[in-house]
Amino acid sequence: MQALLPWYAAGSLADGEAQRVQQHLRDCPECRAELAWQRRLIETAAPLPAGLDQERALARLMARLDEAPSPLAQPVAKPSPLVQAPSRFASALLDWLRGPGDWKGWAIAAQALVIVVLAANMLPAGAPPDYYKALGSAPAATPDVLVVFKPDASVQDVQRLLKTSGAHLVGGPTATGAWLLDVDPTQRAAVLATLRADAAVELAETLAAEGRQ
Amino acid sequence: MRLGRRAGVTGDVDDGELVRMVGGGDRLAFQALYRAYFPRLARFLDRMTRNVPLLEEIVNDTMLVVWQKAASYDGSSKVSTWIFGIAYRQALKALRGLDEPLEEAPDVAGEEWHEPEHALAALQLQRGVGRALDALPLEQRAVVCLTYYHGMAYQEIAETIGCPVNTVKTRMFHARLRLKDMLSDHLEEIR
Repeated sequence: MQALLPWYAAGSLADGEAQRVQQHLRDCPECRAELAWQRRLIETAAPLPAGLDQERALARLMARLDEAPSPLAQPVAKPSPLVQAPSRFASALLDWLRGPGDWKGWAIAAQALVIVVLAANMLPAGAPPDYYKALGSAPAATPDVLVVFKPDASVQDVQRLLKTSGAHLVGGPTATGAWLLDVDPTQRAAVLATLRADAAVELAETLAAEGRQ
Repeated sequence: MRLGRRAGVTGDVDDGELVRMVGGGDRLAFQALYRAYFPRLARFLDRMTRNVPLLEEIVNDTMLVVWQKAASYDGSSKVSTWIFGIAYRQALKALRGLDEPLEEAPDVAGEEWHEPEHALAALQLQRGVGRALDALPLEQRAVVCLTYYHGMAYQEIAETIGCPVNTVKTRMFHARLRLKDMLSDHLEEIR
């Protein structure tokens, strides 16, 4: 019964238990003294330490929320289900890409293109692919090559590859985890060969109609 | 000062509704929930660390987890139990291995003698109790604090810190013995 006294003193026992403790207290001076001691302990809690600042702490946290948005909370415009949340690798790559300049506009155009290309691939052979050409001729950059990096590829691998191949990363990741490259059309075959030969590359395909097999 | 049991209500919206809104990415609801819990979490964590910046950081780490997990909160436990449970785990994570000295700085003990005499006894008692609580192992301190200063039932504490109810009672039993021992100098004032 003595074990329940702290919660009796704090008033958090369920009714049945509280009644049993109460009955016990009538006949037990030792427990009554213990109860008085505990109640005194509860009353002497020290005030909160000086210097706590709720609003300052909240402001700091709100800044952190911007860095780490709720993974389950959806933004106002729901992204296309085809576009997956970026992986850690993709985020690192995006951070690196978000240097000077705004690539988002043409990245979205490029992403739309790749989705259309992927859809076109599913069509029976011979279906006229004219419409994706029309979409692909958006005023923004037109990606020439689609590349999928191996899961263990690092940002450094990508930087190295882009430097050696002379390609520019213009968008991604797509639903399939692919990145979009802009290359000099005359160098396309060489770039594709370089990419395909690299250990960090899973897949490299051209998006240019004339280069596709 | 005792906070006791509080109804989990912030304005017209209860905590459960706030958490649901937070789960939908509502920042205003999150701020309301934060303001409702900051004093309660601070009081709870205050018994775990006297370091104010660290205390605020543990509150923020706790509320960041709340923000990230709000959408998966299923209402099977009370919101306060859920949030205090996160705070307890964040505090253990932050404080384990940190080995913060819990003793008061030496100048504080000297200060007491310059206080006006009528306030001295109460202040000494308060500090004595504070020091005694600080000297308890973290796990015992958490149980004492949730029992005495947050009005939590032992079943709720068991759920909050993730242990059987008997463990809660055992920790409380040992904590009381230690507190009595440490507060023997103040027994006269407490009786």
